[in-house]
Amino acid sequence: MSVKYIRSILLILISIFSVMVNGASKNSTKVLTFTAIPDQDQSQLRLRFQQVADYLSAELGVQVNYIAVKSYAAAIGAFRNNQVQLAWFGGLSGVRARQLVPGSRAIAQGIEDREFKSYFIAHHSTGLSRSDSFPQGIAGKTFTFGSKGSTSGRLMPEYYIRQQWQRSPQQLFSAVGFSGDHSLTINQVQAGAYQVGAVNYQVWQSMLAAGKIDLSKVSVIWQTPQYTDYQWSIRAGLDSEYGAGFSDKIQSVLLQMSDPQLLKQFPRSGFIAAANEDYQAIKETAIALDLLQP
Amino acid sequence: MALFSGKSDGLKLRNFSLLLVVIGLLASVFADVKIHASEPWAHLGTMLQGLFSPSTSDPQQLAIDLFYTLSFALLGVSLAVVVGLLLSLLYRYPIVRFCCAFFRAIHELFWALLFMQLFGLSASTAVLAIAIPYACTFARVYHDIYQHAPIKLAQLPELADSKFSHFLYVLLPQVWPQMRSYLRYRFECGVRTSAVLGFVGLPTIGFHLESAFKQGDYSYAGALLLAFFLLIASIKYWLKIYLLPLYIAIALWFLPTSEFTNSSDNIWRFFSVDIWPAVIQSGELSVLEKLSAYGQWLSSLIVQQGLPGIISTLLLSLMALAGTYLLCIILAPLLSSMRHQWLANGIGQCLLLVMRSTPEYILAFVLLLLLGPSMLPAVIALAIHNSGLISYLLQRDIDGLQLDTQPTERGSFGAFLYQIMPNIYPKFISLLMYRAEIILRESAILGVLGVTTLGFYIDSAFEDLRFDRALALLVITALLNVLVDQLSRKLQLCFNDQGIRVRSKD
Amino acid sequence: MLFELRHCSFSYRSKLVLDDICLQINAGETVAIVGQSGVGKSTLLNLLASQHSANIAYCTQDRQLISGLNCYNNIYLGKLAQHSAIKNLLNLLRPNVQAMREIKAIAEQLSIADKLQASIGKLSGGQQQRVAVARSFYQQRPIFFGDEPVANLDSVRAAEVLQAILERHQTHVIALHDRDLALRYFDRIIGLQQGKIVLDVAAADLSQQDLQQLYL
Repeated sequence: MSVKYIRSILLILISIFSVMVNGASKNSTKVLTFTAIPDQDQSQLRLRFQQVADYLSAELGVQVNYIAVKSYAAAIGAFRNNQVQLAWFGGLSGVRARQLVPGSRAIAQGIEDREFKSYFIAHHSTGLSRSDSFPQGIAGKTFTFGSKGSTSGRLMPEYYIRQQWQRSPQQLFSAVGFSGDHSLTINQVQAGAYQVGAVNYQVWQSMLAAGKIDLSKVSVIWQTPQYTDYQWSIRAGLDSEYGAGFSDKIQSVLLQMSDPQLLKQFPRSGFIAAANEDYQAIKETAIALDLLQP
Repeated sequence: MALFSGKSDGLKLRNFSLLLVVIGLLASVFADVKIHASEPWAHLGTMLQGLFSPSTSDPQQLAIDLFYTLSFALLGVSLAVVVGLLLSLLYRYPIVRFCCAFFRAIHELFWALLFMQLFGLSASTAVLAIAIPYACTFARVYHDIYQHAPIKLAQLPELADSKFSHFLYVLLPQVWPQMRSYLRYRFECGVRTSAVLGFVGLPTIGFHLESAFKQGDYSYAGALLLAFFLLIASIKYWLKIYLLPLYIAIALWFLPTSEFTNSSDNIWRFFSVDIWPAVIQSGELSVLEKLSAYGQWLSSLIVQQGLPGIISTLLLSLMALAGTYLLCIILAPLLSSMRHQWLANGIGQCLLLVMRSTPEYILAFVLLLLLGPSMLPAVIALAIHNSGLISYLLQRDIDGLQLDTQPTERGSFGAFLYQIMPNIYPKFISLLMYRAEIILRESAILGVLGVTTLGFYIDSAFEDLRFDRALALLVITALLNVLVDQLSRKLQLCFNDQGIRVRSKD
Repeated sequence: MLFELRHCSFSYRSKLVLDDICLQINAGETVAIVGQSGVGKSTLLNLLASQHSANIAYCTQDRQLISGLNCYNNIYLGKLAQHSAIKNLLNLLRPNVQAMREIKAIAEQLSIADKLQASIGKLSGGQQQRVAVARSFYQQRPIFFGDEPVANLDSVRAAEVLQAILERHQTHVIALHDRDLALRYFDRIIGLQQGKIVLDVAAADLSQQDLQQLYL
């Protein structure tokens, strides 16, 4: 028996030392990889963006892969570490990512992204109803943001809350949560787990259209002023790797995207050119809220 | 400590248990445990309906998820047991003990988030995230097991000088069965941990489980959970130590190759730039100025996030500990009386399996819908999970007890009170104290409920890509754990040997 | 003079176990310590053993056999400290040839040669007893200390083993309760009663009846 266990210990040892050899392997063929922030329904992400990847592959003449990530931070990390060269970011995640990758730039945004907004939604038990001015009645309620790194679910709502009361959400609300994504925010407010929430208006509208929202349970009580949100960002140095003018080619392919089936995945009615400067306001807001280092 | 100076062990244990509950209640006075009014029934109805009608459109994906979950667990735990074995031999050195307590304190999810910065979403990240904290746990538990080896071989005093030989011939053969059984138990834990790692994006079953719960796809979630429970329940049938090399070879061969790769530059950047705050990175500062700048940065971080985090972490843990205790006290006689009827026993075993295998995060998520956001869902989730585990471990002990009663009496409450309870209570308390450390670290991942534990701030720091903050907070968390560990050790020293079976007296 | 105790007392958990013991044992003596169980024989042996531990092969009453190891390795344990760690490790994987030869010789003398590969749990009490004795033999020390080393053996076996013990060592201090054996094989008999030495004479001067009194 003694022999048996010593032998198995030795065998285990040998097997284990080889584990680190099997790390990640690098693909040798030229592939462009992109990702997107997981802002809603994560089970649909691959379904949504694989179509976009196929479109880009066909138009660019380079194999384009989509990889799904689990969090906003993971999307930024992948962009930073050159694991993806192109990404569909939100306002804040884009600013963060471009700050970390010198020379990277925003190249395209949805038509809607110029005038993006967040909805504040409330459970019917709160008795709050739609108003044009900031809903003062939400103080003292339980409140949920979306992801911690979301522009429409966190940054801008928090900005307006602080502007209104000069106090942090944690001081203002009886409980503050971060649901993780927009569809979950809607579900949780609808179930009454949180009384009030802040959500991306696009996600609200598409869920409403899909019949997933019961308006007798949850309704929009306020919409924030407009700001700039989502954009496609691209890393620097793609031209040297994929050939001159490659970045511009990506930009024009994105701008030309007109298939409604594809556009529905974002969902946007079309894309227009964008530049880093468009996101200066977001950047300053993020710095003010200590969500970004100057 | 006068509380524990009484003569009888039973009295000491009673006082200690009361103290535990009283502290838990006291903590609930200071913590937010309000039930926020909500209307969860419609949603809960959909959820239950979904969970009890499991279905999946993609069984192949499910199989792959399960396979990777197992692979990571196997590799991680195997690596951990080897390193842990070596560390356990050195565990008497304070520095080793400190390092183990320190690394153990950091939750696997945070290890995964750290290693993700280095190795991306690769197998190495998953394996290391499991292996490091597990190795430190093995070190401690194996060390404790050695302390309780029955034969010390005192008549060969010269053996004290050849420690390795002594270990091989005297310690190891005696405690091998215990070590092996702990290894098995740890494999089960490893599978659970591996599943949880999916929450941060590694390709285990947790990846889809979290998505399914978040998106309200409850019948898929039900299928995933069912498959996961079956996997855990089946472990004891196929996990044989001598088959391990084979399993490891298979796991290694079919490991996923990552879509993410990371260059050495990125890894270097992480250590040289990312983990240091911006205030000390401007070049013209002297070392002294850098140190003072770092000190200022750190103290403001501690005031803003560290202290509030520590307070809610401790409050949450103390309440969860008291909750675990109470739930165990209710469960133990219940399970014991169910033990002698095969159907009831089966139900009891399934209940325990579900309680201990469902990730706390999922439990908390469901409870959040029911109770609204406060510490309460977190406390209950932790209590359910941990009492399920403790009851399971105790049950193995109860089965091992040789009781001299008629079989007909065995199920009765009287038999439980007078025969089983006195035998297992000391073990129960030491298991509870051991779980205290784990509750402390698990409280971290429940930050998602808006409970501002240290874990909440750490998660925020990772989300904000502020690795400087993340690292500083992780160190604070780890130090807190070391402190709590020392304290609970001191407390346990007030008992004599009877009270302490799991832990050593070092 | 090998061992000496002067007015030595010993208490365990505030109970006096040994009471004012004065004792000298010279090299080459063969001493039996007799008395009822619980009179302090083991304590006395332990006390004496601590004076020359490096030269003593000590076979304790609880045998100290490691259940996870087979019979051979349990005997090998006796010389563990003399061998290097590497040699010990290799020996676990495959028995060392020289050690095996020596141990086999000992095992043959004690009639357990056929059990060397068996695990300890499979052996009878008497066989386990002989494995413990074999471990002491393998240590090859000049002094043998035994605490009831033949207690579980039938009288023929016991005599055999005792003879082997006497052959292999120069000095012997053995606690035993078998009066017959004590008188037959030992030069000097020390009787204990309630922690005191009540008898310390040459075996030749004693009869069965004298010894009987100790057990009353």
